[in-house]
Amino acid sequence: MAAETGTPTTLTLKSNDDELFSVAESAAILSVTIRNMVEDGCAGGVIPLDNVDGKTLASVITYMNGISAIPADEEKKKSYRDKFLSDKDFETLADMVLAANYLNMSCLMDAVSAKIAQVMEKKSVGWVRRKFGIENDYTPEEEAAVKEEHKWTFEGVETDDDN
Amino acid sequence: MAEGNNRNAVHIPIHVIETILFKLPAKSVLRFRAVSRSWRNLISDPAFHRTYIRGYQNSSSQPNLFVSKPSYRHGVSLVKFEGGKFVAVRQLVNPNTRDWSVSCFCDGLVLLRPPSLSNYVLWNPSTGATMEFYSRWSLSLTSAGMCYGPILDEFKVVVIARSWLPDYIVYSCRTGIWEKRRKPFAKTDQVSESGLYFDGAVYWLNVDDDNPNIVKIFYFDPRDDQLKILKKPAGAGGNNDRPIFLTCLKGRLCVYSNDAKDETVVRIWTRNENNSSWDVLMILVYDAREQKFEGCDKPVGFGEVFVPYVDNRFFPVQKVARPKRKRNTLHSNLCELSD
Repeated sequence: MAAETGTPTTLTLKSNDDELFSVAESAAILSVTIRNMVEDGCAGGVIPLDNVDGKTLASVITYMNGISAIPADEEKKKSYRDKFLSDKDFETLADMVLAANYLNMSCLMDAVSAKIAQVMEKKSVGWVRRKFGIENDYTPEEEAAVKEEHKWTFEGVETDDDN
Repeated sequence: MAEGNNRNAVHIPIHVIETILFKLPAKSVLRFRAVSRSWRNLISDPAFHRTYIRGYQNSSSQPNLFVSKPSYRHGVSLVKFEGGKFVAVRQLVNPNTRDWSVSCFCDGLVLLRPPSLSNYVLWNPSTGATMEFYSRWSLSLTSAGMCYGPILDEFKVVVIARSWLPDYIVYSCRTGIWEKRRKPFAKTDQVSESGLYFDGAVYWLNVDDDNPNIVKIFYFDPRDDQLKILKKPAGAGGNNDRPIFLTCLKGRLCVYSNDAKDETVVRIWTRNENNSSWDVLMILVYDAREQKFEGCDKPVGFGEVFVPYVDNRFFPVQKVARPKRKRNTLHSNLCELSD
């Protein structure tokens, strides 16, 4: 690891669609994946992040900067996370949970998966299949039987108006 | 990953899906078993259950639900305490047509007792599965509790005689064996009837027969099957005019009792974060004479009739031991989720 100097170190991250981003090392190392690269001395040039697109990476960096600017105050960090995620749609959240998983950022992973759970809570089985791209591999009889086992869980489910 | 037109769906790896499912209430999780075979298998995995249940026990953000006991002959109501009132959320229908009563709750399982006193039924309201087993004692005055023993991954039922008998008995749902143990103190005439399950142990209150000012909180520790004593908060209960009760709120063990001067004032204590002493959690005004809710005609008090219940722990049990007598169909029923 490089010796501490007076000036903050900046890292350059590259998304899988070749966008470049500058970010302070102190914020970027919220990602364990990036921290490991820094500690192994592999962060000299550009850090390629092959599993994250530019739009998602921009959002993740906004989060990194935002959360690392908040001193150790769990309440404030939580309200920042809530606000940060409040206007994101399901597709964006899904991209972010994948990015958080790839970058190994546990606090973002926790917050995004909780937000996705909140969005999913009252959704139908069909909605989940469409959004997660899951093929229904039950036969109609099997599916009816599985649904019958926990009938009460199908009460109060939202009707699917969005796609 | 698909681009362009077909960018409607994302493909999320199964361990990420698992992380998301852990954060959903049981109602949604059980519904999503119907999504696909792989989701059903994931949700039915005993390892998933264990992590799921533990996650919710440690969560303080879950709403507090209570189980009402008044209508237990036909089932019990699940109620929520909201805006100073109890509101019925759902009715759990008793699987037995006979006159069985609800004894206690743990992780979404209910222990039922018939009037005959010699047997018990474990009931899982979310799957409808039941398992019957027989007691070595048929005493009329007993206190029961049920808990999950993490070491051997099993449920245990504890029965304490409210009498001079020096022993209590522990039933292992895995092995089907009753074991006798010695009580740490002799007087258990006034032990609360239902043990409260909280964070891996079962708690009871015991009022001393000769001196009602002596109230003990004791608990069953499933790691060594012993009954142990916990100090009560100073100022809580302590005589017959001011009974004290145990409950679980916001993921913490709580004790509450009515105020000495005004019985509509309820004072609630909770264990502090290090679990080393009691702090006052809140003081609320609750007039038992005015409380009614759906399915219950009589006014209900805060303590006598409500047992805390977390709907999110409302989850199936795995691997219940084969009962001693001819109950194979029920057993396979209980294992229905492990297919």
